[in-house]
Amino acid sequence: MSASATDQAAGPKAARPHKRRNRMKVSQQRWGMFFAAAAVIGFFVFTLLPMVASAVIGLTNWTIGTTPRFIGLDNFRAIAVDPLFWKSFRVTTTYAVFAVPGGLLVAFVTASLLNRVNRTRGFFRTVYYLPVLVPPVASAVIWLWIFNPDSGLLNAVLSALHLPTLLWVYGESTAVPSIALMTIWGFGNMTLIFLAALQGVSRDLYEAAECDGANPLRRMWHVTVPSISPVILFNLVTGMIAAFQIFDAAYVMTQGGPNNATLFYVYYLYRKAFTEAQLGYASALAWILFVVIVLITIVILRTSRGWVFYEGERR
Amino acid sequence: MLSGCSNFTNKASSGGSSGGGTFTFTSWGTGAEKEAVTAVVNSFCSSKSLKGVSQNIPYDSYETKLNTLLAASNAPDAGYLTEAMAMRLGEQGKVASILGEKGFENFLPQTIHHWANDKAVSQTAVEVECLWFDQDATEKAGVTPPATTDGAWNWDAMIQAADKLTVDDNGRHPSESGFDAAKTKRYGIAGLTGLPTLVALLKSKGIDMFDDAGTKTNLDDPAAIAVIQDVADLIFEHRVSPTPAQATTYGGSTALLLASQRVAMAIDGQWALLDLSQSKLKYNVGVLPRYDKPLTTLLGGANGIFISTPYKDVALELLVQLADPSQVPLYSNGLWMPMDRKYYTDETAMSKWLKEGVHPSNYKTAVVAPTLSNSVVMPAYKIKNFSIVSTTLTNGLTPVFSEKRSDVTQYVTKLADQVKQQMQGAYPDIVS
Amino acid sequence: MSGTVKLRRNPATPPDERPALRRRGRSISEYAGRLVVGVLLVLGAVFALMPFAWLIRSSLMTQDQMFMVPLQWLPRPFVWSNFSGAMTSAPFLLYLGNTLQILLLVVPGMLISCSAAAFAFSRLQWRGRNALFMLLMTGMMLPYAVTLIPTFIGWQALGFVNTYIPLTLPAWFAAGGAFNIFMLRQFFLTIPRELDDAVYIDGGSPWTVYWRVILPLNKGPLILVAVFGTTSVWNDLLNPLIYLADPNKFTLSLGLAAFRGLYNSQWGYLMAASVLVISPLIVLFIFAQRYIVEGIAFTGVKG
Repeated sequence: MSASATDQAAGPKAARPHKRRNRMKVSQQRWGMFFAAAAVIGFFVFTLLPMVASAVIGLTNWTIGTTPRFIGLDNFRAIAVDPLFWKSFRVTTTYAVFAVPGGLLVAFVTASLLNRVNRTRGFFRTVYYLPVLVPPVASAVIWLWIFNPDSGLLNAVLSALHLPTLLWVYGESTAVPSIALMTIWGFGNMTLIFLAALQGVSRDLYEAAECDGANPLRRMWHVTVPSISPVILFNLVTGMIAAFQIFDAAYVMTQGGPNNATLFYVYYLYRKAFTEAQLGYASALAWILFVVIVLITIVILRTSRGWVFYEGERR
Repeated sequence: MLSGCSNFTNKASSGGSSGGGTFTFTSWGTGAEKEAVTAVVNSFCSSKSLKGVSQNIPYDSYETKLNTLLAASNAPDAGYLTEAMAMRLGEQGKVASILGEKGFENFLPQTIHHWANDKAVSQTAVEVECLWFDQDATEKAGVTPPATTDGAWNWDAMIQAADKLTVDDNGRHPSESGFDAAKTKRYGIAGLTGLPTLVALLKSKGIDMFDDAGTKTNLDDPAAIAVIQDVADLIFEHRVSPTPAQATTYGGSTALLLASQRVAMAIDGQWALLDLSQSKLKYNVGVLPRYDKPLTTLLGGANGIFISTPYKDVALELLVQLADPSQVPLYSNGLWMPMDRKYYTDETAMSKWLKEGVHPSNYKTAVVAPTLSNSVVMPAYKIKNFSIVSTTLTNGLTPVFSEKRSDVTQYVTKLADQVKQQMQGAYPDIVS
Repeated sequence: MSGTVKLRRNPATPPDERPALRRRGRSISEYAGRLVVGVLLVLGAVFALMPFAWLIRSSLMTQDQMFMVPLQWLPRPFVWSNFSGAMTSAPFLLYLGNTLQILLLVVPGMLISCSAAAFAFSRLQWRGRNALFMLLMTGMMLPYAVTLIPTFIGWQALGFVNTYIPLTLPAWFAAGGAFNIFMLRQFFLTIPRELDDAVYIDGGSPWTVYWRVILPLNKGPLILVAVFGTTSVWNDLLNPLIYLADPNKFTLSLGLAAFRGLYNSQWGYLMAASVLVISPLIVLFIFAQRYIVEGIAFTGVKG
């Protein structure tokens, strides 16, 4: 820390830097807590409390309409032998593997293409974000039409190109990739975040790189990507978390079918909670997912130290 | 702490005026249904000096909202309930029994569903499966769908009739050479892939879809598999029927399917009559095809009275009033069928709900009569956990009806096994 | 010294557009590159817009035309009554007012509480910072379905069911904002430390850093938070569904959902209403996206 102008001349020389540092520490401590106060309170009251409640519920056999009874880990034992649990876990993981890298890539490329200031780009930026604005109710109808094997848009395009048509969400093997495709359509949020990040890359760095003879691709790899790496990390983590919790598509479009091919984990959990009214079992399911997500997040964050570059953080 | 959660039963009255409480009735439904139910609830409640609140909740979210309210001990006074939820709540003691109550004595026994031998819930209305058809199309093709159960088509007769009605862009029928299935302009018949129709078809061959104890499905019975194969053959061999995906192009509406000339005959619930009567189509109705005994399926959601209500008598009266065709326009406009027996046997009573211009000429013989004598009750109430069981079945059968398969037997046997794992027994509901 | 360093960000023009550095002999491949970019953008736009085109043409058609095979692109006749019918079948203007009410309470709350928290987690050193941040992040990792009922029971105990409080109060405490806090933190972390230090040297407090350095430099990300918050409130179905019982308090999303029935749906009205519900968002976004991109130029304090 450089010398502070507010430094008083009191005290012996050796003690002065300590006092300064301590004062800064204390004040940063206070300020830190002040700024974070609202969020921390909010977290404890509105998030942590219900989470703890759901954890307790997961240890009971609560069926809505009856009084819950504590049954310890019985829910988890039942889940371990539940074939639909394993099926939904597999389905969700497969989906995440498709959707997360796919979404990141498409969002990044699109943001790069949109990263110019002129009116036509403004038009495209709006157009690409539009899908995010569609209410889920309308979105379901639209996509059912797009995916319809008979009269839908996608198969119409395929047959116009003399390619074989697909069953899309109506086929067991094509259902999950179809839904991944649908999610990527709604990637406007990720694109926008990348776009904002690309805006912030210092022009000086580009100049320096070009002076060193770097072509556009190398500039991207050596300048752009490292500069926005914190944001790439963000999109990766949040994308992964969202992918594992995918729900809407199954709920409004496929109801888990055909033949459980789209029985996503959170949809299965939701069905358990609100159709079968088994809130205890559903809570247990939720916490298993929680643990999985936390573990994956930790892995991503640990390995991120190798490629993420924070310009403004002092470690 | 946990039992304490369900103890703060504060029925907050939503701005209730002095001198009367609030009576909340929850329902789903759009358009005409929503208006009619709201009107009845409001007028009935004000006649009892109560503030009537008719809460309309979208069907897709209905169970979520109601379960949430229940979990918080904040249930409405009465409302619609899905079959499975009604029975579950009855078993849990959260819903009142209507057995022995005034006004319910003459309800058809198929509309009263027992979760215990002495406790039962009633339906909102009667619905049955019917064979709706485009009369112009059938007349032109020289096809006469059967108006009485005596004349019900056997399987071959149905295929023949459907064949005459199926045309491709070049005007060819499937039985003619040169027929291009990819260019089918109109299908002969649709709707046989749905679960309610399958229940009727199976029973018509003497097979119950589920065993009496609710522990397994009888789909792995070779005779049952043959029925599934027959339906699949309609789509892929005889090519007279669309796949489920092709049928849902119309948002699942029979009226649209028929009116757009995409399909000439469609098996669907009686409720399709509401939309059909408002379309420009010349429509009529017939009976379902049969194997041995001609049958149709009787179904319908439930009306439930929550025991937490302080207005149980009012609720009972409201339910009786909702069942009265002279009070509710939904009977004469074709959405509902009555539950009281007299509306099926007594001519004067029948004239109260059968309306010229809505109910077509075959209606009495093809719909009213079979409801009494030739119907099988949908097992939605009897089988525990039916919501999940039926979803598993429907989703599981979709691949069989979406693509031509050579392994139908193995596939359905496997499906039967899957469904068996979801089954949790049965209520003592009378099904036949 | 007043400490008002004029800070602006880059205009987003990568170097190859600046004439001085363009090398001769590259023009052909550059044009080719631009052509490829243009084609890609147009293809992508078609992909993004096609569903909207379907939505709009459906909103102007009768039901039988809507689902006809083969696909009809031109309504015959144009059914404008879908729009008038949808608006009169339910009090959509009331719903709009309600949704705006909620929006105006939520978005400022989100902006303030999330940016403050992100600031604390990125620019200040304090004990427990990293642990608390990780803890807050876990809020995103548990499916909402299982906290729905405990939360509902909680609000009911406080007597706030059927009010807008459960839908608006949490926003002021960044509840559900783990996503936004995380995002803003990542953006804040891309700002060089030296700017903070400059303020501290001048005797400023963290508040000054927050207010005069971090916030102004992050207008883009902040607008993003506002946009995300707006779309999520606008289209939120589950929360209003669960918490609101009085139809006079319903929001736009509930109005839309009411068109879907069990046996049938009012497709024409649903399509028309959807078009109307999406329109304000589109207009909002057209304005917002310019600010996200045009941002503010950064003239090197780094020197």
